[in-house]
Amino acid sequence: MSKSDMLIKNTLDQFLKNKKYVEENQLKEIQRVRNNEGGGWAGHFVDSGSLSENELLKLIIDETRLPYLPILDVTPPDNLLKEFTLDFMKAFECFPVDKIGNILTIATPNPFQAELFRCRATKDCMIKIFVCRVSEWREKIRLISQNNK
Amino acid sequence: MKKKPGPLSMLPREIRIRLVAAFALMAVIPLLAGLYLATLHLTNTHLPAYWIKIIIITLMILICAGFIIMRNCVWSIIDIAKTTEQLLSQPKNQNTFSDELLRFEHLLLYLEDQIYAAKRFLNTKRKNDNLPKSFKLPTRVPSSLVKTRLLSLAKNAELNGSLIGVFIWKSSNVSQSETEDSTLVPQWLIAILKNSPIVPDAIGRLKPGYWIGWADNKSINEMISYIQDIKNFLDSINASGISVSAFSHPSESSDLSFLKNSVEILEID
Repeated sequence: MSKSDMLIKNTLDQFLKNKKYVEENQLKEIQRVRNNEGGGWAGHFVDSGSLSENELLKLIIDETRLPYLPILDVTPPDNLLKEFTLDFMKAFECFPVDKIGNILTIATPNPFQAELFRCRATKDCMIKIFVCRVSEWREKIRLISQNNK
Repeated sequence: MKKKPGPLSMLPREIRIRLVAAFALMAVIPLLAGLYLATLHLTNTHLPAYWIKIIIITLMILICAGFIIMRNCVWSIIDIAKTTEQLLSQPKNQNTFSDELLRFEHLLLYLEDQIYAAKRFLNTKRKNDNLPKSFKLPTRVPSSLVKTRLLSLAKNAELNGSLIGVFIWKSSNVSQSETEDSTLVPQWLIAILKNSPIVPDAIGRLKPGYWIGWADNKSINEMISYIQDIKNFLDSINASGISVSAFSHPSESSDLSFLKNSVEILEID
């Protein structure tokens, strides 16, 4: 199974459950909160306190071999940010980093999301995924939100 | 009386044509073919078996083609951005084109309104459900940004004449995992947050065993009451080595100048 296939066919909750990093009752509770509030899995997992951000990052990198990107140091081009709505970035926990030709670079704390490969802005592109921490991603989203205001 | 235009009239001409074609392929043609076969049967005119097979296979192919066209129609609405791009890239007669563009713009506005309304319904449903709230850690701010963030919030509060509640939690017993992992929220802090009467907007670690949090619009009285509640909680669980302080900025004598220098100089308790 190729890397992108693995990312499309799995979800973060399944991955953590299969690897036994999270208990069944914990998972059910996180699932309930997510169903009520919306948003992405990575944020809900670290917000529940069951995993620290570094633990989650390490698990994902070990499993997927995706590289880590410190996105706090990254400033994406304005026209690229316009391709993604803030709601989309929040719901699918992603942050566009750069686009050169047909190659789109995205940073995310949760690469196990088929939507990242299928959305309007990405489906005709070759996607390069980088992993980041939830707090770093949130900080970038906060800054975009602040700039939009 | 002039007939009110139906919702389909907003669709681009190409999509409407496709819809009609799909309807013909999936409904009209099979119906006519069925009627034809039924009439033959009723009039005792028997066709050779291979003819019936050919008719049925052709019908199946036409139905599949109709389904594909229908699916493309639906997708051209879902992928509305791509449809717009295609529509704009096609060379057309100027008059027809501007007419089409106007109709398309109306469709986009209609869809936008529908999407906002749907989102509003969803949010209202979530708000009204009143489902039991679970404990959630407040947003964590990366350690490297804590000072800058808090100082900028304090500056904004000073400028706007509002108040910002600042919480400081400190533990003298720092575990090895806490030292190694800057993103790990320690159990003692989770326990405090779970029993806290005020939920901070965000928290961040200044150094191992030294956490800071803040919340908008918190008065001095609220912060005093917070300290008392947390101290009572810590006493009830006999927690040692943990101290909590809180103040409201800029209304109290406490200020945030300590953040500009070293965090070490801050005295808690």
